[in-house]
Amino acid sequence: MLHYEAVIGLEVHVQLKTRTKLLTRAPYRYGEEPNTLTDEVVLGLPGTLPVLNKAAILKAVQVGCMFGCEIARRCKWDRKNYFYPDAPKNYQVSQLDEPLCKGGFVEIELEGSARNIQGGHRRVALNRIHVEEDVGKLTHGSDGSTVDFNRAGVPLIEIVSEPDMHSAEEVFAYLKSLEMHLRAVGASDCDMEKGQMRCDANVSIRAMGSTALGTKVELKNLNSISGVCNGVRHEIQRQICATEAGEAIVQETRRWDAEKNNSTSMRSKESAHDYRYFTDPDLFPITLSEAQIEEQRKQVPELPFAKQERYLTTLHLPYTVTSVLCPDKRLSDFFEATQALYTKNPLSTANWIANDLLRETGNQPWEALKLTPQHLAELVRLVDEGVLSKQSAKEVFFAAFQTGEMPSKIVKDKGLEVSVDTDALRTLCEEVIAAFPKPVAEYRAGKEKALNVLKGQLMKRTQGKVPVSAIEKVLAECLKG
Amino acid sequence: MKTSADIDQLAKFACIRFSEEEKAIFQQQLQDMIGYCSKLEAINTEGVEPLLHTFEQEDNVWGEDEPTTCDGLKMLEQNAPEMRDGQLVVPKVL
Amino acid sequence: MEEETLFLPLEQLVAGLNEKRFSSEELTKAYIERTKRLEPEIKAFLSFDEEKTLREARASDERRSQGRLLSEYDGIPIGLKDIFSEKGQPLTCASKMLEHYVSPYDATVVERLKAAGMVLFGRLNMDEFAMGSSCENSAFQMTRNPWNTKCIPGGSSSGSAAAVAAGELPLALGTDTGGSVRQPAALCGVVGIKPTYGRISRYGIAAFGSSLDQAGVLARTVLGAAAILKLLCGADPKDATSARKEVPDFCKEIQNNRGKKWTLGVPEEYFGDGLDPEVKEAVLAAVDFYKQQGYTIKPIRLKTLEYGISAYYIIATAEASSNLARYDGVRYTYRSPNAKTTEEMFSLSRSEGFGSEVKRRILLGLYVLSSGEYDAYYYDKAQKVRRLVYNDFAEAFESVDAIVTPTSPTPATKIGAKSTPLSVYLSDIYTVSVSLAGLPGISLPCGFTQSNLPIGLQLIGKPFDEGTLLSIAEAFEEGHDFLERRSRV
Repeated sequence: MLHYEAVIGLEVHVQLKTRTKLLTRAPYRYGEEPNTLTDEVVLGLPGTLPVLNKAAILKAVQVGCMFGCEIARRCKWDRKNYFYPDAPKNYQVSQLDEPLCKGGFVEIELEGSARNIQGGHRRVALNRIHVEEDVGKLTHGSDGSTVDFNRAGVPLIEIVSEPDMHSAEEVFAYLKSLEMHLRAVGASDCDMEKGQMRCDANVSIRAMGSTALGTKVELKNLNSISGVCNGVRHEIQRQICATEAGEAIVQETRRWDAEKNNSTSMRSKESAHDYRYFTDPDLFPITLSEAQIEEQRKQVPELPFAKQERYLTTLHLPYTVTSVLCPDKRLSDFFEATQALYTKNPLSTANWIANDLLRETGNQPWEALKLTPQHLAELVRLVDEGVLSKQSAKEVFFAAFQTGEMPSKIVKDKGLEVSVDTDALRTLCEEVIAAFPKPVAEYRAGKEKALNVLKGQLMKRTQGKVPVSAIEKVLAECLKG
Repeated sequence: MKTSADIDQLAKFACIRFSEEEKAIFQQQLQDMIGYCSKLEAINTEGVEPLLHTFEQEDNVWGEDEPTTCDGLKMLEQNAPEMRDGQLVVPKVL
Repeated sequence: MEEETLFLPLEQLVAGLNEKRFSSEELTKAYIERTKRLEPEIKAFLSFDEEKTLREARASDERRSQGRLLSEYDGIPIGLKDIFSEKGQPLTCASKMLEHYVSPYDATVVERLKAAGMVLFGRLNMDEFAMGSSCENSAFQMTRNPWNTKCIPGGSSSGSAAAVAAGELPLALGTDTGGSVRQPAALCGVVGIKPTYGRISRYGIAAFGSSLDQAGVLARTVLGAAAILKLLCGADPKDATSARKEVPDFCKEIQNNRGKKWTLGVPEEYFGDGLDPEVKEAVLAAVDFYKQQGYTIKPIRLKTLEYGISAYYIIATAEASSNLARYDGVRYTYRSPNAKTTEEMFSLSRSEGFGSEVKRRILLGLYVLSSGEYDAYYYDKAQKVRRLVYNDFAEAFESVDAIVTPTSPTPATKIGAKSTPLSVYLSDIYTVSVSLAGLPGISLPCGFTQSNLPIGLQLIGKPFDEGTLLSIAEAFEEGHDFLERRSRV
C-alpha cells in the first residue's frame, strides 16, 4: 500500500491594529454600531480617492523584518476587480506582483513527547506578505442580506506560506506561532472570532518520497485555529480516500462546515483574468529607504522563542511555565516588569503569573487590571523574607488583585504578618528530632538533604503558617543544641 | 490583439445584461475599436517602461494614523435605497 | 443691468463689484434672468438651485459691506459640470445611475471656490460620466451649441462651454480626460484650459480615467481662466496624485511675460489628412500672427500622434471599467426595482442605469484588461506607448516653449452626424496625446467658419509651466477681437 504525504500551504489574512483604515483616516474599532466607522472614502462615493496609512505600511514592514522577509524598496498598488456587495468600490486595493515582503519563514514548535517536554522546532517558509484592504461584513437573513461597512478598508496583511507543511499538527503549530509573533510586535490581536485573523488552506497529497506537487484544493470558511486543523485533517483524508478509490482530485475551492465536520465544493478553479488586476492609478508607489526599514527592524522586540530560550537557560524556569508565559506578550511583559523590581525569585514570580494571575484575569480586559508588577514583586519578596506565609500570600494576592492595594498594606490591615511563637516552634522541633532519629543521624553524618524530611514534618505540623525561613532557623538551633 | 471579443464573458465581468440584439451591435463596435487599437501591436516597446503617472512625487504620499471624525452613516442614509437598523439592505446573496 | 455687462471679462466684473456699480446679487440675478430666457434653447443646466445661489450672492454682498472679502473673486458666479461633488447638491454625471444622488461632501475644488467666496451657479450638462465629445451621451438632455443650435456643443464639458458661450455664466468648471474641456471650448468659441496632470486635486470629482482626469476652467478670456486656475491648483492631502509643487500666480506671470518673443513648435502631423480646410486655414493664420509678432516658428515632428487614440482609449476605458464598478445598485445609485437577488441588483441596475456609450467603454476596458498574455497586458502595452508619446513631447520641448495645433479637426458638426463610435473617437485625435503626456493644454478662439462656427486653437505647454502657456495664449487674444463676437442665441 502506498503511503501519502500531505502538502499544505496557508494564506492567512491578519487585520493590522492601526487606529485608522488603510486608505482613509476613518477610525476602526471592533464591535461598534453598524456603519458608524465609515466616511465617503470607505463607502466609495463618487469622487473619493485613497491616501495610504503610513503606520499600516510600517507595521507590515516590521512584521516582514520579524519573519526574516526581504523588504521591497519600492512597492506598487493594484486593483483586484470583482463584484460583491461587501466591497464598496467593487475592487480591492491589494498588491499583485510587488508585495511589500518576500520570502522569510515562521519558526514553529512541534508537539513534544509529553506536555512538560519541549518539542522540536522547524521553519515554515513564507512566500510573501502583502498589504491590502478588508471588505465589509455581510449578514444573510431570510428575506435579504444586510451590509455593515465598518470593517471595510481596515488594513490587512496577507501572509502566504510556501506549501511547506505536512500535517494538521504542523498547521496548528504554524498558526499558534503566527499568532504569538504578531501579538509580540503588536501588529494584531489575531482574534479569529473577531475576524482579526482568517485563514484559507491549500491542501494536496502526493506519494511519500515524491517531490511533485499534487492537485491542490483550497479550503475556505476555516473560522478558528481548531477549525483549520480539523478542516485540513479531513481534507487530507478525503483526498487519500479519493485517490485510493481511483478518483482524480479536482482543483477546486471547498467550503468547510465546522458543525457537520465536512466540506462541500464551492466552485471550480477560477479562470484566468477573473480579477483583471491592474496598477491603481490613484496611488503612487511607496519607496522605503534602508534607514526606514532598519528603524522598523530595530523596533522588533525579543521574540517569543528567544525569550523562552533565555528563561530556560538563564533563569532556569521549567519548560511548562515558559510555555505559558512566552507566547503571551502580556504575561511575559508582566513577568519581565516584576523581575526588574525583584530579581531574587524568578520561579515564584513566574508561577504566580502563569497560574494565579492568568486564572484570575480570565476574560477580563487586561487594561482594567489593578494588580501591577509592583504588587507582585512586593508579594514575592514578603514571602521570601518570611514576613508572609505561603498560605496567607494567596489571600493577599486576591485582595491586591481585587482592590489594587499594596500587599504590605493588606498584610498590615489584616494582621497577616507572621508572628512566630519561637518557644512553641522549638518544642515542635524537638518532638520531630526525637521522632525521626534516622534522618537526624544522616544529617549529622554530613547529608544535608536529610533535613528535608524534618522540614516537611514541621511545615505539616505548623499547617504552613510558619515561614520556612523561621523553621530552618529554629531547627538548626535545636540540632546544634 | 485577439480580434474576437467574447461578449458574454465581458458582460459577465461588467455585470451588465444585454439583449441578443444589443450583443450583436456591441460586438461589432468593439470589433471595430479593437481592430483600430491593434495598430499598437506593431510598435516596438522593448525596454520601454510603462508610464502610469506623468510626474514623480518626491516623497511618499501617505497619511499619519490619526482618526478624523466621520459621518458615513448619515451619508449612507441620505442616499441608500434601503436601510434597516443602520445596516444597508440588499437582496439575498445566492 | 445691461446684458453687455454679462459678457465682460472677469477682471471687469471684479471692478464692477469693487466700484459698486452692481452687487453680487444684482449680477447673479442678471445671469439667472438670462439663463432662464436662454435655457429652453441651450439646455446647458441639469439642475439649478436658485435660492441657494442667491443666498451665496447675498452672503458675498454682506461680506463686501463689512470689508471682509474672501478673495478678489468673491461674489462672482461660476458654474460646475455635474461631475463635481457639492455638498447638498445633486451629482448626476448626466447618468440615470445617479439621477437621485445628492452629494454629502464637497470636492476639494468646490471647497476652494467656496473659500474664495464665489457663487456656485448650477449644475451643467455633460456626456454621461464624461464619456463623449458631443453631449449626445447625456442621459437627460442635449445641450445645443449657442452658435448654431442644430450643432453639437462638443463635450464632455458641454454645458460648461455652452453656458459660458451663451453668456449664461462668466465662468465654469469642466473636466478633461482626453480633451473634454478643450474641445467644447473650441466648438463653442470660448477659452478652455486643462492644466498639467496633478495640478488640481481630483478629490470629489467622479472619476473616469484616473491617470488622465484633470479639472479645467472655461472662461471668456485667458486672464479669467488664469485667475480661476490659480484658485484651483495646489497639493491636496486627500489626493495622493496631486503634485506637491508650488503654484505661481499665473496672472502675474502673464503680465511679466508681455512682449516676450517665444519659440513655437508646429507639428506637421497635426495638419494632415482629416483636418477641415477652414480649421487648417484659421490655425495657420494664427501661426502667422505669432510669426509677425516676432515669435520663432519651428516645424517639429510628433510622430506618435497616430497612436494616441489607441493608447488613450485603452488606458481610459480600462481605468473606467474599474472606476465605474462602484455604480452597482448597492449603496447610493439607482437600484433596479426588478432585482430579486444580489446578482440582479448588480446587473439589472447597471443595464438600466448606464447609457450605451458607458456600457461600450466598460466592455472595451474589460476587454483590454482581460485579454492577452496576462492581466492588463494591453493596458500595459498602452502605458508603454504612453511613455513614447511623453518622450516625443519632451524632445520637442527641448527646443520650443509651446506647441501650436488645432484643437479639433472640425468645427461643431450637426447633431447626430457621426454614425459610428469609432468615428466619434477619432475626432479626439489632437487632444488625447496631450492628456496621455499629462501636459497643460489650452484652447482659445482663433476664427470662424463661413457658416459662423467658432474654430479653436490649441496651445500645448511644458509640464507645470501653465504660466508660459497662458502668456502665449493671451498674446494671441490681445491681438484679436473674437471676444466681441456674440453667439447667435
